[in-house]
Amino acid sequence: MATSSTHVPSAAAASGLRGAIAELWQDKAAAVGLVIILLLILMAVFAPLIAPYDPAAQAITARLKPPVWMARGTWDHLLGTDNLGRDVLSRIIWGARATLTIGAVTCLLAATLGTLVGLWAGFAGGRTDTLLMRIVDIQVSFPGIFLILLVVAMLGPGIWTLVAVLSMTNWMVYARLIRGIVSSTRQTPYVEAAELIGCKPGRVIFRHILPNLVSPLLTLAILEFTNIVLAEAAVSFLGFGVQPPATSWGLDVASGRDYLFIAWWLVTFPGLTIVATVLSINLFANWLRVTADPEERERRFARAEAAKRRRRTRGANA
Amino acid sequence: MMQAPILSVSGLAIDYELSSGGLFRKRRTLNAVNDVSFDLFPGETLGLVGESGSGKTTVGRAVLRRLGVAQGKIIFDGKDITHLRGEELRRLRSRMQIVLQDPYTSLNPRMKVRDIVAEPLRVHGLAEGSEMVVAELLERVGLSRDAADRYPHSFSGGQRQRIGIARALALKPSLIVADEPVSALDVSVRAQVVNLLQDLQRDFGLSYLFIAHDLAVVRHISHRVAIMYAGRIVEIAPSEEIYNRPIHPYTESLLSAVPVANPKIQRARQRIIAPGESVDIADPPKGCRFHPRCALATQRCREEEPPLLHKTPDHSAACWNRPA
Amino acid sequence: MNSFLLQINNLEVNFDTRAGTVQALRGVSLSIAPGETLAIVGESGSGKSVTAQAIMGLIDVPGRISGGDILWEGQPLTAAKVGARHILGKEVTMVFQNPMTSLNPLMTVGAQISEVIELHLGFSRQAARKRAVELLSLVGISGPERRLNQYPHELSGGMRQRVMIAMGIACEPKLLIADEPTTALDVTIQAQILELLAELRETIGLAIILITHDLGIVAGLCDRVAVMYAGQIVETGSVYDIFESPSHPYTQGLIRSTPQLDVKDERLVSISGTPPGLLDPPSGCAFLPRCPAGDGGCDKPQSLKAFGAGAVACCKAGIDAWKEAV
Repeated sequence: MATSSTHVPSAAAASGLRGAIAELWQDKAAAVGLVIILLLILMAVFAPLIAPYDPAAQAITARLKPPVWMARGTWDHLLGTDNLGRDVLSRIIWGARATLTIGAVTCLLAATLGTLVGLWAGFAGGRTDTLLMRIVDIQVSFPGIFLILLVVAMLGPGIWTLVAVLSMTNWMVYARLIRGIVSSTRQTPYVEAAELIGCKPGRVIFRHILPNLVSPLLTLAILEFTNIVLAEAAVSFLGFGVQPPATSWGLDVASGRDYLFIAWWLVTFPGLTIVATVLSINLFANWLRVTADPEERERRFARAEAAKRRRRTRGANA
Repeated sequence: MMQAPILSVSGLAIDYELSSGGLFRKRRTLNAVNDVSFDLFPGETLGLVGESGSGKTTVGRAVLRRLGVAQGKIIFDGKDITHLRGEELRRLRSRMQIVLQDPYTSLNPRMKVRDIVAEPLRVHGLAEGSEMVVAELLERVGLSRDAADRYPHSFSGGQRQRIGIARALALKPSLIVADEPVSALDVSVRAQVVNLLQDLQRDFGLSYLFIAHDLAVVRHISHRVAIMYAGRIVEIAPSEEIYNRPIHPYTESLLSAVPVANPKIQRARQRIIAPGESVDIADPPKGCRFHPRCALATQRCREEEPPLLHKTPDHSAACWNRPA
Repeated sequence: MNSFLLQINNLEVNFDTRAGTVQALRGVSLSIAPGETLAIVGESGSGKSVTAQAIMGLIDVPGRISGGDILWEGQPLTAAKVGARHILGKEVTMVFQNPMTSLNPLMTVGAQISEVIELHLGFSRQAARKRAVELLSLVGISGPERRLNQYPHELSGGMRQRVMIAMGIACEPKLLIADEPTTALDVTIQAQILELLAELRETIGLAIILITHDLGIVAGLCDRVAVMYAGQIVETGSVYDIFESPSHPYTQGLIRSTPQLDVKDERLVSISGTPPGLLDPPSGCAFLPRCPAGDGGCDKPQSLKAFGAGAVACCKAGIDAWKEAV
């Protein structure tokens, strides 16, 4: 009996890390996004080595220095200093630590909680499902800022309070996504076959259902990360988040706003960093979403081929 | 066939859940199958035929204890399994298996063929030596041994269906419920799988409950055939009997609707038309469920539901107007 | 000058995939005369549906037409050309396998049929509605006035397919392409739909291209048959010739491996193996690895040549390839 491989195109053509990188390079925006993300992570990890100054070190003599290319700027402070003479660049580098840590930990907590609830609801079905999803609905309709104020009032502000609060207000999206995928995956024939073979529920969930969740979960978590970064900035801006002398980008924007008209750089640079982070993540996540969807991925490939062919014919005509 | 049946279903009724019931909603159900009885003997194939909504798939799932039984009894190998639960039910799974319709979705795309075929062994604590068993099974269903190291996506539909069959055979079951096992396959591959199923039956003494809508395939593979309409068995007989001497008017119209792949014969055939479409089982008509489409319908058909009765010793039908 | 409604010459369609270029159609030529019913028979991946999509201008990324041409009444028919819009959807229409996904669930049946009529024939709202009622009764839907106001989900599968056919013939097309129109339906409903198509052919002189894998349907309805395998037509001929004396080993195997309702064989003839991948199709006969009659002479390219009353792409055309096989 012939067992030769069939018309199903195999992924072998572009497998492995090198293939993935080559594919990413086709989408320049996403590639740039990934580079920026990696740079930000490196910056956060090696902050003590990179940052020219201690971010909290005040220097009364060098207050409100503008960036280097301005009239009064100096090479000592590339992006200038703030009202207490703290180096803006160093604060951004150190701020990356707080912002990225909060984002990562919050995403992890929220995703774990949401996944557990979603798995439970989707697998159990029936009344359990209804009950859990109503809880999600209630939580979603509860104003986030109100909850934040409530928790901060009880626990006092700080990084870990912030993480707890943001996790509390973000797990629902994961629960909804996972529950949807689980209840539809449960209907797929191979899951039915697994149950009819005599697999116990644990095996069905972890062996047959969970692997389907990895890529949508990853994509969602990356997108949600941007929300967390923005939320952290907002909450810190309001003064309920990261507390001085610790630093974060949101906090910097907040404390710089009083000097907006005499020292625009205090708000602009941390703000731009937030924008660049969020934008990079979105660009990369979009690429990842398409890559995780085999059909979309093929279509993207074919479009690139068609564009190449058009360029070639145009080149030949010219 | 005087021996004891391997499977004996009597008076089976199954309710289908319309809405699972929420916090403030009541559970709503629909009677999908009612009063279904049949026996299946060792080494026999019983074809279960019907159109969509006839309840044939539901019966198959109930036999495998995937669905709750509202009424009736399922006796498997002399043991009442109607209300088996927990670990006992799980152990029963090794004796009855399923072959599913769609070869593309019935195999986990993320598992290697080796793991797919070995999984039943593993979950029943027979992992030891499974390597050999898997290789033998693959060879038995017509795949080469090195298929074990590949993923399902590198196989064609027919080959995947062979993998599914190997998985079903792994625990040496005595009953296989085959739910439209060839209807998703291409014509040229369909014959391969039908032949394989027949060979396996001969070699292992398997019993098949063969669920299908394709009457030609069912005729080919089945020893006996049961015709279902709107949740009832309307006729059951040896397959030659059903095809040559159908009793129930529905069976007649069904047989005449199947196109024959021969232009001369097909164009000369007289179709027995049953006007309209299959009944809505949520709102079935009173009396015989087929009466709105039946040319023979009388007052009695509109009021009383005909029971499934022996018209000849091995041919039963549920019709008031067709004596033996 | 020719009398053909539609002519396809040497059509090639490629799909660009990451694994390489899949050659879905590899030089397909066929033609259909007015009022004729042509069956395109083949298995999944044989290219039968791609052929239909190519005619209707529905080949989209990742696919592309990479060679050959399609002529409508002698004029090139390309979706990009001005006037193609006028022909596609009006003179040539298509009915798909799954009526539920081709009907708009948010519009009533009446609105959807009227829309087609208003768009292509420029009828007024009232006139279009009147025509829609006529069409629904023509396709055998009882109580057409009432049905006009119903939504697709309120209709049964067979009824939806009738609506699709009503939309298909709304503009009195010359050619209807039906891609597996009854595959999703039960046999008794299938028989009703096939009778409807046969009737329409008589009453409005419709030419039909019926795409199917079911030989029984072909036997009952069609005049001529084209058998496709691996992106090529391997045999064409009249329906009687094809069924009575198939000449290509594949056609022979296909007919012999189909279980029959009227005769009980002990064992089906089965064609071993699977169709070749079209990523890198063989240059010679694509059926060679599965062919019991094949030998060393078969690895040269095979093209469709006149044989008997039809045409066959096989150097062993006419021999009984499956004589030994059981």
